[in-house]
Amino acid sequence: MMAASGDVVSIEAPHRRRSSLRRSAAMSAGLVIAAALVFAATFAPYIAPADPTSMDFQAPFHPPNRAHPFGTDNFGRDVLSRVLFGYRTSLLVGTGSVALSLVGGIPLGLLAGYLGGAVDHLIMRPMDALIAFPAILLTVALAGVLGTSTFVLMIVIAVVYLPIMVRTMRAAVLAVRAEPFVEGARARGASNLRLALRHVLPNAIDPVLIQASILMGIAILIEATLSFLGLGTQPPNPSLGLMLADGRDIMRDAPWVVVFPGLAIMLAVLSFNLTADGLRDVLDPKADRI
Amino acid sequence: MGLVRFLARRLLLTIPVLFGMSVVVFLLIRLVPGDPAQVILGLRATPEGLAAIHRDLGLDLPLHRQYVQWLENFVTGNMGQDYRSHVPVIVLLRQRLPVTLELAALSMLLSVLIALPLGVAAAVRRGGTADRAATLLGLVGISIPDFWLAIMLILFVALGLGVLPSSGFRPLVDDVAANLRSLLLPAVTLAAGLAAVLVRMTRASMAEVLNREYIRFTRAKGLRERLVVYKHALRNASIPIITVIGLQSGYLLGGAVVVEQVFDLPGLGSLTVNATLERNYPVVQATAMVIGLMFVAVNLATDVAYALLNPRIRAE
Amino acid sequence: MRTLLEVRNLTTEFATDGRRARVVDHVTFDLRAGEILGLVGESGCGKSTTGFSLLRLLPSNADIVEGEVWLDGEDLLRKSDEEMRRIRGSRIAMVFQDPMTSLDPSFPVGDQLAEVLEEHRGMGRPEALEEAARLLRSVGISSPEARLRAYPHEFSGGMRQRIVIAITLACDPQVLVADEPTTALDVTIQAQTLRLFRTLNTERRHTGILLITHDLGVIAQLCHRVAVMYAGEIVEMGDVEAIFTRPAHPYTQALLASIPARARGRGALPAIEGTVPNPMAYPSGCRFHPRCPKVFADCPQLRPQPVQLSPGHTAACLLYGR
Repeated sequence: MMAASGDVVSIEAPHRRRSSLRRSAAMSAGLVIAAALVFAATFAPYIAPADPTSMDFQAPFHPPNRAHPFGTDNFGRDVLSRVLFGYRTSLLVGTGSVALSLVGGIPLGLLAGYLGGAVDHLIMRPMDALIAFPAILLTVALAGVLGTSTFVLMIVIAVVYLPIMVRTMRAAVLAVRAEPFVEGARARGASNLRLALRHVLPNAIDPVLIQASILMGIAILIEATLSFLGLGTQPPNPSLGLMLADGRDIMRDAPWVVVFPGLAIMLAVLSFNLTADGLRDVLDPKADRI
Repeated sequence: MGLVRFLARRLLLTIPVLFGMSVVVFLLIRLVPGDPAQVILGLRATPEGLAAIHRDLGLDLPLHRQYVQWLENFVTGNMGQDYRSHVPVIVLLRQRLPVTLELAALSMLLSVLIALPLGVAAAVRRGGTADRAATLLGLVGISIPDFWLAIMLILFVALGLGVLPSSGFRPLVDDVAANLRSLLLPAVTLAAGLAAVLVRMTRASMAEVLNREYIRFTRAKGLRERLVVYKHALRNASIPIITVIGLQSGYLLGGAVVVEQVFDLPGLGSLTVNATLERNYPVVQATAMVIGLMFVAVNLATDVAYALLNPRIRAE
Repeated sequence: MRTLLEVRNLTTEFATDGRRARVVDHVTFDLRAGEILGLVGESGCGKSTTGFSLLRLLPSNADIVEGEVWLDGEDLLRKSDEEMRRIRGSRIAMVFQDPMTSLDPSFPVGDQLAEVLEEHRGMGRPEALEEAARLLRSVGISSPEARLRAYPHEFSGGMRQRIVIAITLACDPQVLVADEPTTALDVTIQAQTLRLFRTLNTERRHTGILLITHDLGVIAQLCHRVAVMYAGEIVEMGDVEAIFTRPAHPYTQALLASIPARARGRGALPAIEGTVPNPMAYPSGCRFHPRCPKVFADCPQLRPQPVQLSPGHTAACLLYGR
């Protein structure tokens, strides 16, 4: 390693290292697919070829064809339309959970990492206890207790993932807090609040963004799983998980009824995981790659 | 000698943990609103009927008395009875535990057999075929819904090819071949998700170790690549890998609920979930304790593995 | 003394972010049996990379693009990977800079010693361990049989360096490359380790040692000959006595002038103006010219070639011809 003599340690805040943004194929691909899915979900009522609930008893069990690109189910309902509407639920739950966990995780992590000491302990001990609990049991129990509305689902997922968000934020804050530019800003008389919000937070947010992307994928999976088990979205609300549960009975005769919803789930989750991987490459190539 | 003392110390530490766990489990299930008596009687519930059942099941006693009684019974082997069927919990456990254990073992075995060599190969030659395969596995494996993979496998392998059963479980003692066949698809389903995480961790850990100075020095000694990678690098990379395997084992032992449901396997997972929903306290408490005990055992095994692999840990 | 190693025009380049950096540039020198040749220069001049290039132990983004390395009549650069592997550790070996990171923390030192013997000498484990104990004793480690089962973290830095040296000597190599072997050690341990090198040199007259360092004091104590490196090139080479008493290249002169002992408290410690050039953007002509106190018109235009000043003493500087 060549070290030039006389390096000056920077005391200027690194203005959001975006200038070194490297292109990542993974991130671009992930974002494009995710954006397409969000678009499809938002405008589902307009793009769907048919009303997802309208039954056509003249056309049950149709394999994929021009009129019904994903085929029809036993009630003659168009599978593609149902998938598009199912996406709405998935993405809604996903967005809600991520938003909630960020709303909870960012302040908690910031406080724990920035203030340290007793506050840190106060926040982190319950988080550690929460993490030790097997997630699937926790979700099932909470869902069984609180009921099965979409909002409850969002809360449940956010709560289960909260410890990870808090930990990630806290670790990032600890790392940034130790950097010289923070001392420099403090020496110039910045108050704690200003320091935390203007200097520490923007530079610590990167790993949290990555986690948010991962959580989006996980939330979609959990919603689908719980709906599949009957503990999530209830009929007649559309849900990809529900479609799979219902489809099991008729899958011998109409495999497309289970193939496409599942593919749809996988595509959505994949796009967010791709984005997360790409973000990792771009924001911090030296990060712990898991 | 350091190893024995290390083990003994860790074992002693598990006792308070187990205690704490028993309290948490006891309280948690009772925090869930819902009355077991209500569940049992359903629509035929009358205040007198509910009270009678409360007396029967000892639910009218003060909380701490219930706890002490339960704990006393538990450590002497009496785990109570299922509230509804009155089947002794221990019988239920004896039926279900082997299924979960065997499924866990098979899934873990499959996962390790795929993920470990692939991850090592991927780390050794970044950008090569193994690396790309590892990335693909890592990405798809964590994106695929496990219940959907299960359904796909059932659809195309079991029903399509007809060589494997689509559901049900045959005990090992009955027929080894049938037993393995009934668990193969479930194990593959679980292994996909496990392998995805494991291959990522293996690759990351190996890649990091391969960059270390002592690996460069080992190469400077002129040793064969095989020794450099499989003896030196792998040994030093193993701790994070073992950590992941330990965590995953803990998760598996808790019963893979969804896979059990889809393949209709009588395992611990579905037992626990159903019992929770029925407010079947004895069953929930007993299974939670058993799962907790197995978790503790896995943690202990992981710690032992750490100590064996890292000489510095032994010295403490 | 016969010549063991003939390095001719060794050139190594690194590729980063699409650009290439020529870190070692047409380096040429000989190493004879029984001698210690010092390779001295500031950090970043390419001396460590030269050492690694001799063993062909470069990272994946580096390439040896030109040159020949003749070890006892065979060009190492033309060897296949497998052939080179067999030569590495047995006929040419290297001591790394930081003993704290050279040994694998997960294996006992006896194992790490035995490995080399098993690989290159075909010994079985018991025989190799016996020899390992003998080697440990020869580098000054007491009760070696018991120490074989110990792990690296149970040894101090100085002792670990001795173990590393023992490993490199295990197969009696013709060439020993030592990359800053004392830099990472405490001052008191440095002296001990240097003494060890001197003993080794006296005992093994058939081995040549290439000692890479930035410390002129070490050069003075140990080396017979020295090559001065700057910006990837050898700018001066000769006997230690000649270099220290009649340094020809302005860079060598400046280096010597900046040794604290020499300055003898006469005012400020003379430092060399400027910084070491970045290998991706070397100055034109003579690479030292921006910092040279004797620079003149030709310097930025012409690349100086080595000129013989007296038998065994060369300097690449336009002051002495082109």
